[in-house]
Amino acid sequence: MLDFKVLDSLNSDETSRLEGIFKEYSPLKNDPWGASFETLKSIIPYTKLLYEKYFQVETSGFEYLPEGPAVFIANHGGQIPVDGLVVVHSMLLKAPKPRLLRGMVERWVPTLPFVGATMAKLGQIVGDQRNCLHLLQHKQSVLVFPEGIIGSGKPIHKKYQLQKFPSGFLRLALEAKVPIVPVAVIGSEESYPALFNFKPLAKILGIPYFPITPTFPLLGPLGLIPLPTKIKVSFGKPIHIDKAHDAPDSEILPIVEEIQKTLQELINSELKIRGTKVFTFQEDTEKTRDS
Amino acid sequence: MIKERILVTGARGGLASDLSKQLCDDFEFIGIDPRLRTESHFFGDIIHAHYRSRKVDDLFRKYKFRAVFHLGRVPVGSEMKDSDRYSENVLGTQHLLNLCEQHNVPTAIALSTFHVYGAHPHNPIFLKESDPLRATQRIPQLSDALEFDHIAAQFGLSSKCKTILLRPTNVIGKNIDNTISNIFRLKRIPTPLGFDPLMQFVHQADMLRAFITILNNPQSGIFNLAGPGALPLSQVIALRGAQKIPVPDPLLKIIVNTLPLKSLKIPDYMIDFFKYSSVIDPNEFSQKYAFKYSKTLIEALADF
Repeated sequence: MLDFKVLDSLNSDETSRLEGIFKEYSPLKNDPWGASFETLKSIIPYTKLLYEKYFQVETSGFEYLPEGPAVFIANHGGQIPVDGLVVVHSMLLKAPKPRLLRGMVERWVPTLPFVGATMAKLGQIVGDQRNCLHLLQHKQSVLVFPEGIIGSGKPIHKKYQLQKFPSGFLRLALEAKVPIVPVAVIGSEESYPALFNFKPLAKILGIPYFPITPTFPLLGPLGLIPLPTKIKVSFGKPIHIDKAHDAPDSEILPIVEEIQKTLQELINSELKIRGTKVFTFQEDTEKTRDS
Repeated sequence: MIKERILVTGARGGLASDLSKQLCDDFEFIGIDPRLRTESHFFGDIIHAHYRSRKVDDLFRKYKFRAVFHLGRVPVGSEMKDSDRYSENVLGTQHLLNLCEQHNVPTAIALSTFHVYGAHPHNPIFLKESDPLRATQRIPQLSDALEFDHIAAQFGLSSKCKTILLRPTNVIGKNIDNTISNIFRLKRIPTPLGFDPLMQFVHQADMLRAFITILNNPQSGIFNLAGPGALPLSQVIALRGAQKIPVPDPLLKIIVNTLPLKSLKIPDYMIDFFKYSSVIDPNEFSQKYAFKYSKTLIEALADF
């Protein structure tokens, strides 16, 4: 059963983590990119409920995290951005050094009433190369899903198979001279298992994809609730690359492929560790560890 | 001792008054203003004239100006007809700048606006001077403001006159009578439902300090001006002690166009600036002129 006590308030450690991030923006506690202390403080109890109770998130690899800013890259899937939520939450409230990871939102998000304003106040920004570079140059870290919309819309039979990475995230890291941190998110790609994408309806509705899942649209709005998958967020060793950011594709693309391979290997190894326990309600007995 | 002369357009406005008051001991001010209003705090003679009129030519023939401050761009929503506004802003500006060139005026300062960047959902977080000017993509009414900006920018590239084009963010202050100051003087402020963009401000005191800094050591260029920090609209309204009235977008347009808000005329394009952030990066000016803003955002909002 879900324990709703976590909704009460933040504990003293969580509050001081959040206050630490906004300390330099006192007294109003709004950072220059639009993140708001008050909004985060009011939303976190709900994300905490999802993180701790619903998805029962585990983490590993915090010891690899670099001191300074970095480009975090993670696998993307599961139709709705559960992956982004758990990575941001873990960095904010679980990592030894708290930081507000900046996720990238689509360009049309600011045009959505309520959604755009809330995303901005949670520290998420429009996925624009300029914005990312500005953040990195001001000691902020960004979270990128290189698979983009193709990744988030992929059907369940393609889960954890990374789709081709473009070079933007690498050129960004090279220009800002920051490392790349691979992040494997296990569990999120099964939380909303799309059997297929109903393209004609997506086209009519003007949305990138319309997933048909075992529960949606069969159960109506109830079918929109993600499944209670057990999620693990695993941070890999940072990748440092020294190269000109404007090098030709012939030099950049092989490095992008290598980075994609590194993340795929991290995902595969975490999937092995996870074994067959996919949902939080499953018994842990089948879990096999190969370490 | 004969004082050097400075020509100021928009002489009946708050910024022109501040400038003339501050520097009246050192300079003789001559003002031009095409508006009919009589109220003025300008320290100097004001000539009622259109910027492209013969009276302006005569002034340049009669006096040698140390600098021309073109502060009188006519905003959308003023009492002027659209065609007259275009004429003042575009043809008038061209005329004034040509006169500066012909009469060897050493420095021309043109006051544009950050509105030229537009309040576009695709805008990057911090708009730099080199960024595209997207205003007319969504707001055709701003075409004359955009042309004003282009004319001054082009003039700066080709003229021997040092040309400083300023794009300030929302200017506020006690004797500033612009739309944004008047909106934030309201006790109840209608806002688009579901939107809360970041807003920046520059106080009139800092505008004045910027003018004087430029006058002392003019360096050509295009510069954004914005005081430190940016805040969501909701927080700005709260700091002003006002009440936010969220209204669905289409209804807001009707309210803005039809209802008199304490006889305040708000051009409907301003709604975009209450929906999408248009945050400018003021670092170029601060660095080139070693300029520090004196008012924090909270101080600026408290002082008007």
